[in-house]
Amino acid sequence: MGKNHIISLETKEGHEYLIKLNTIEPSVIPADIAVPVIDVTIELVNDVPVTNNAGTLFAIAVSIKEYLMQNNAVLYCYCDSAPIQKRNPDLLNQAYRSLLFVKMFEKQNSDDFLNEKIIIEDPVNGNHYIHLFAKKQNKYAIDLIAAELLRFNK
Amino acid sequence: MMLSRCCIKYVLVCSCMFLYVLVCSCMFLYNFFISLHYMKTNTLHIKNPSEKLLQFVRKLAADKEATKKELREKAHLYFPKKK
Repeated sequence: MGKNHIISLETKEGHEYLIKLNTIEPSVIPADIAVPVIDVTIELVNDVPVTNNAGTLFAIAVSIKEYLMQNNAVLYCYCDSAPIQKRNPDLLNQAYRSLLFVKMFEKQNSDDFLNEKIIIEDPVNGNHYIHLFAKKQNKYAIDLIAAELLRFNK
Repeated sequence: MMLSRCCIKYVLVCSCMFLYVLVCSCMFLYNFFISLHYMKTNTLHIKNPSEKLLQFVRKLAADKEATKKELREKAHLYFPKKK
């Protein structure tokens, strides 16, 4: 892993979030990708009894979008399975996080960005959900990463 | 005379209400189609992953957990306790 950048964010309700943007070592990504690939981790670091709302989601989306506006990069987000408050208890935690990512970026109403959702079925650990976000001009990088995953699948 | 004034007022009020409903409908349809046009999420669904791919994504999951743990440990640096 390479360069790190951490954004701190506190909501009106008192939720404290840290968003870590970590540049993935170029040696582990396909060589044809000319832009950095950034691993995004969002973590709630305190306990607040108040349930999260759309405002929080919007604030996180704005922070990530600002980063993407200032940096020519592809963002990679792995949706983990840690417990999360959710409306639909039947949905896996990682599937719910994936849904939040989709909503978060659709709320931005921007046609400058692409969102690629990757679902990999895992009968043992539960399905894996990955999101790749990038400006439209970097669609080739998203396609190359997806192709690399498919190559791994052979 | 009085009756015709009432009729004109009635027609004006109805017209305004109609225009209001029309404008609201247009705004709704505009936002709806704009949201359809804007960023779409494409999905790649791998249903029968190879063992190699599964091992790779399971490592991604473990890495993510380690990063989240690290963030929780560093939280006090970014959010000092309020007095």
